[in-house]
Amino acid sequence: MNILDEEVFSVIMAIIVISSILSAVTIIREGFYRDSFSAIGLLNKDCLLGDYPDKALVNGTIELCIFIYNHEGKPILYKVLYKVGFNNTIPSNTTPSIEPTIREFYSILNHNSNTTFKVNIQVNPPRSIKDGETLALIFELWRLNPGNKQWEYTGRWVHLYIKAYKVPLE
Amino acid sequence: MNSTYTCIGLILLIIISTSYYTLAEDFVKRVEDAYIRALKLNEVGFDTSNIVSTLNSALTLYNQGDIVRASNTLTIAEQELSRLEASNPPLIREYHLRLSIALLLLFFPILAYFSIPLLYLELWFRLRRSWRIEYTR
Repeated sequence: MNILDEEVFSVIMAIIVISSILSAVTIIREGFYRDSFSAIGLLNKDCLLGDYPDKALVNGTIELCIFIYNHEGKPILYKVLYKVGFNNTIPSNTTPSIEPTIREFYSILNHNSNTTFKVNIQVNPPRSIKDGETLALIFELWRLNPGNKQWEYTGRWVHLYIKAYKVPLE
Repeated sequence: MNSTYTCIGLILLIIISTSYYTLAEDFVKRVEDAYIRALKLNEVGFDTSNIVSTLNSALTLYNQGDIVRASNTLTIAEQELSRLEASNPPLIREYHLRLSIALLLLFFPILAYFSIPLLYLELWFRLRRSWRIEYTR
């Protein structure tokens, strides 16, 4: 294939012109960070993946770590809401859990930065439970909308299932 | 007499707990305002990464329940915000940078139109550098 052939060269130039126009328009309209996202992760008490607690005392405390990552292209003020729920009250991508908030943790991050912090949380079920019943420890990620100064649910959450006991296990 | 002391103690406890919650609520509102101010400065081209880090330190202290130290750290961030707000914004903003890159991208086809044939010919000759031409009858 001779690329100096008029027809081949025209096709190559057409591809270059179209892709350069599309790239220029995308950069002007959407900026450099098209794939913007926020992330939340749950780590164990040593701030590592795995080896999570699977049982706890009702009203006892558990130590865990929360990881947050900002890739939104600008600084973001985050709030992590801690709730205790059940299998049928965990959040979805669009709606937060209906359970009451027990604690709030705040963090503000620059673009492309993350934070990991330890949390001591109480296992307070929203209603009376049976001994050994499974609870979901829910952590929802919220962010402040600077336009209307309202907190908005990001659609990101993590949860950990544990069995809650009323008396200490041997 | 005892009931009077108990009553005073209860009132004091209520006052202290109320003021603690007011302080905590005020702290979050102050952080929200500082964040919005930092975001506005960031949009006009200021580097606010150090202020955001200071705000995050304040929030870490707040999460640990140390509201007094958190409030002091927040004050430092607020002072830095006021200092930046009083200064002139940088000349080069992100929008200008985006516009420059977009113009460069639009200029690329012209560059390609002239350079592709040159590069192709250069490559063509280099690849055939060791060729020997023989004439046959």
